[in-house]
Amino acid sequence: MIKQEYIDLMNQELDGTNSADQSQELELFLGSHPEARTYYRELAQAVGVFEKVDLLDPPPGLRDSILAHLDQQVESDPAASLDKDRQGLLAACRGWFRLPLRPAYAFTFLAGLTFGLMLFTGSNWLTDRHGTDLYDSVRGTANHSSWDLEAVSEGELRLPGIEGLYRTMREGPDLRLRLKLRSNKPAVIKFQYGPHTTLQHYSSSNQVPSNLTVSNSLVELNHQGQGSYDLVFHEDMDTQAPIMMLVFSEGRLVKTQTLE
Amino acid sequence: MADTDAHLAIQFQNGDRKAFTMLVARYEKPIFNTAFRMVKNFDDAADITQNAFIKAYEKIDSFNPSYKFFNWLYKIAVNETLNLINRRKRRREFEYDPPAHLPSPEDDLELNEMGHYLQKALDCMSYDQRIVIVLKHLLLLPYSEIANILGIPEKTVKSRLFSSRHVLRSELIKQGYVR
Repeated sequence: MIKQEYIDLMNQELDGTNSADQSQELELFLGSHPEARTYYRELAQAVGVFEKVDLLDPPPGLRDSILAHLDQQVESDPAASLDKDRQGLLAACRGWFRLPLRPAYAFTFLAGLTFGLMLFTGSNWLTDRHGTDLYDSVRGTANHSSWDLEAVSEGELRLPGIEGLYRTMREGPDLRLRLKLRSNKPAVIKFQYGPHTTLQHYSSSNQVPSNLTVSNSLVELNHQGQGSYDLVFHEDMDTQAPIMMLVFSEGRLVKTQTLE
Repeated sequence: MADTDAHLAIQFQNGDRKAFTMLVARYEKPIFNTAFRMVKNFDDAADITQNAFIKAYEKIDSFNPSYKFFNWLYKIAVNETLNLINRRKRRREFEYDPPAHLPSPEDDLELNEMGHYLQKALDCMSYDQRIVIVLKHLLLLPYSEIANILGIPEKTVKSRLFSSRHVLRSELIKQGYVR
């Protein structure tokens, strides 16, 4: 019967992880224990089988089948179909933060700081100006004249656990969004946008307090119950870059929508 | 940097589909072989490989490029393998289907004599022992990476590896390969 500690040393020797002292200890032990020497030889021979076995070739066409499956998925799955639109935007964001130039970071930091100060000092002003009376429905009963511009696009959300309406309009470098939502479970709406875009305005008429977080190129809105939101995204460069709206219900992505 | 996994993964995260194709080409074979040694069935191994890449594609945004891409990918593949093995178990518990893991004639043709010795020995191991020895000796991964992929401590990797080698030795002695 060989002690476990020597079996461990044999295995470690095969892996090349023994220290010089351990190797020497094993050598001495094997020199005086023929049954251990036999065990070690057999173990080494067994492990050597792997070196004599060739890797099998995967079935021909497996790679094509994987890629074809992914193409199909991108076409049929809304979660995957966000790729093309979103990827360009994400690439732009990532490219921005990979710039070796410090001004990119400084600019983003200052933009964030400015926005934070605006939120902190101007929250009352925002609420007063665009507060709970903003509109009753995005279907057109709103009476706030500055928002009654012709919508560029609008659509409905009829998704598991959440439904609503959205309307966007372009006004120069601004993209204005009205969103009315009703959900019986917590939902998260994320807006992803490029490095030259900032969230300039936000107001809510939700009965349940909603939680808005703003980070680099991403706005995250936690919603529950029934309510409506107004957001204005401002773009410095006026390239009219699209904004991606991602709707998550119970942690699952259920809808992606490009806002233009 | 041009062809490293991390670079390709970042390119893919940024929307470059060609980069993902290159990653598939790079890891299709090792993943297929690991799966085959675990499930002993050519078609199932192909399914596992396909599902692993599809999952990787779906979750690529969650990949952190400061970690090794293949560790992340193997982790997905190992989970897919385990899922398939569990599905088989459940099917056998509740139905009277013949075991789904019997090797087909096609599978037999794919293995040379040495491959048969090895596969028979692997069949005598538990899942935990088998996956460790396959990752160690087929994919040549160090303890630390196996621990990372399986989510277990390195110490456990070592003890499972050593016990699986003991089983391998015993089985190959029985088969007359080791004398």
